[in-house]
Amino acid sequence: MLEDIASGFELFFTLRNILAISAGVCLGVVVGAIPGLTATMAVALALPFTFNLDPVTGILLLVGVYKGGVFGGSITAILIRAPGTPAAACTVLDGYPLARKGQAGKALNMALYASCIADFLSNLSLIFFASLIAGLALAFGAPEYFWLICFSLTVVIAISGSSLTKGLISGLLGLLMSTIGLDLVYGTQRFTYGNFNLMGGVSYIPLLIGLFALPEVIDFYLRRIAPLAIKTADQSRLTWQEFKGSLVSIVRGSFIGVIIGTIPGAGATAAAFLSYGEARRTSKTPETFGKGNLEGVAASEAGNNGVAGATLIPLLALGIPGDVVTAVILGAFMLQGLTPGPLMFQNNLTIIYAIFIGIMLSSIVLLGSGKLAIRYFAKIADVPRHILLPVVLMFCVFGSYAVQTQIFDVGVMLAFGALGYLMMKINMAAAPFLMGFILGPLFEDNLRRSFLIADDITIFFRSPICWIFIVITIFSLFVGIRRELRMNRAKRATLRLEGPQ
Amino acid sequence: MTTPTRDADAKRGRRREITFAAATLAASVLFALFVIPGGVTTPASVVHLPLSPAFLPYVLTAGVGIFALIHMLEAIYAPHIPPDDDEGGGGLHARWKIRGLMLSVLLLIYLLLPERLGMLITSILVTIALLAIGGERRPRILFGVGISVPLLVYLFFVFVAQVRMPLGIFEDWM
Repeated sequence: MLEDIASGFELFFTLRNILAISAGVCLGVVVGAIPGLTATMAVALALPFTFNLDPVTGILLLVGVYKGGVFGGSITAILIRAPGTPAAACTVLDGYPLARKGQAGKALNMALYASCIADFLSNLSLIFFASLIAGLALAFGAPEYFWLICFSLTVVIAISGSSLTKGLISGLLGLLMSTIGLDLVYGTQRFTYGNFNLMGGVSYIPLLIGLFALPEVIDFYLRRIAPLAIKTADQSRLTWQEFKGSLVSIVRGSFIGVIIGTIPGAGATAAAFLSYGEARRTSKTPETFGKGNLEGVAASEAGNNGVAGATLIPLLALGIPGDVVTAVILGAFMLQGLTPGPLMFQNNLTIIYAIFIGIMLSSIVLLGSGKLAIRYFAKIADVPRHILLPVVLMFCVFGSYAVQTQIFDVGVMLAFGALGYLMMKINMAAAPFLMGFILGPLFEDNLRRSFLIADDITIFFRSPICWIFIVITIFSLFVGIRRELRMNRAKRATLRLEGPQ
Repeated sequence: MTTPTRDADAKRGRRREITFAAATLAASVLFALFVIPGGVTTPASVVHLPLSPAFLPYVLTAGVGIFALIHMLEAIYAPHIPPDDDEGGGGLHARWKIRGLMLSVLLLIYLLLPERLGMLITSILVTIALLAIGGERRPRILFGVGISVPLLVYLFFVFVAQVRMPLGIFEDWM
């Protein structure tokens, strides 16, 4: 084994490999920061460059792009409320309020440190527990997935904002929106009204951009006085105390990310929201979440970056891609004549070790390139809003169009922008809507697949994994609702003390 | 805030919440009665109810209706909780109607003109117009930013991200 590790080191430590991973991370950060251009798109764009590279160099380039892209999404989420990637939508909840308070630097640095730590822990999990966790992931069938999604949906309570009922309505509307398109089982149409563009459902990138970024633009032009300008980001620094205060949430979020990332199809967005929900649930000051709490930024970034390394676990250990990005990386492996899976650990162990070393290095590179990116991207915060917002709108339009090169998607973005603005005005949180929309297809697919496997409802209680998720779902619902009700009761008691309404 | 002002705000807030809940409840009923039957094709061969394409839409619509009802009861019987501090401060702009109309037209331009004028020209036009509406009067900024930024972003998307943008009037030239 030591011999293989030594050979892995020898194979990895070349200038080409180090340059590839550095370039990959930097490219990923920049592309990830642009709304509409996702980490998936960045990896797909980088794929042709790997054709003439060595296997290790090529794979590391793609892994670097992926990891950089996941972090990059948080930059614009914090600075201009336009999440670069869907997973960064959770970072908006506390990142943007911090930026508005003139603490963009703090938020960006916290996002970076949380991302790097989560990425590092995720990589360690990949290296040491790949086979163990991959085995666990294989035990997930449709009923187990169904309960996992149910558990993930309970986080809607934590992200409901000022009104629990409105948050729940928002989440249900998101789920309802996800039913648009062709039915998965019968292939019949649902709410498409013959529109070909809706057959595959509503595109989630235009929805995400519209829901979060566009309301800010509309609000700016309709307000009496311009909203508070974001102050210079460079003046706010993250203190050791602030970092220490969020460390537990970072570590917890990283492991949530690792577990979710290992399960194919679950996705970084769910991990980010789950991690955020847990941080809020265990916080002594849950009422500060959503109003600019650094722990909220740390938890969501740890959750979504914890997924990055873990999605490679089913890929490397079993040859199963966990999401679209890893499917592209699987393609890159195959182009290089390598087939990920158990046999690769026998036949190409040196390459595996070289990739592991490169992946570990990527966390350090991410820290360096992230610091650099923050330094320059943070200057966006200094641009006057009347100049910045037309440019933001342009990115929204270009980004939405780029997803499928269809003007229809620009229309979808504008429609959800109007909806997002309406939701902003009636104090209805948009995050539960997004959560419902993203988890909706998985929820319905696994519900119906379970019924297709067995005509009996007992299939939902067939395994210990089902029971574990049932128990934690009920527990999470009970604790979440009780806390929200208590908080409302406390607010009402304060109002009563202040005088009659 | 003085007590009469707070009372008036609370009354207004309560009324707004009741209106929201009533509208949501009505929408969920209409959705269940007309939109789902008209918009979802259910095959006759469906054996189990959960396998029906209309099952989840009905369940979710019922959920929306129930929570809207709870929200309405809460708004009627429980003391009103004012929403968290409005971050932006200030109400609507004095000319919000005309500004809103102009913004709507510009957003429609982004939707309707790219395929005729091309994405670059459209984004230059809209960006310059938005800068002007936002209060920018310096020609160097107005035209400098309005032309150079869309051009750079366009070039990035076309040549780096390799996205085929609509060329519009330049279609025949390229």
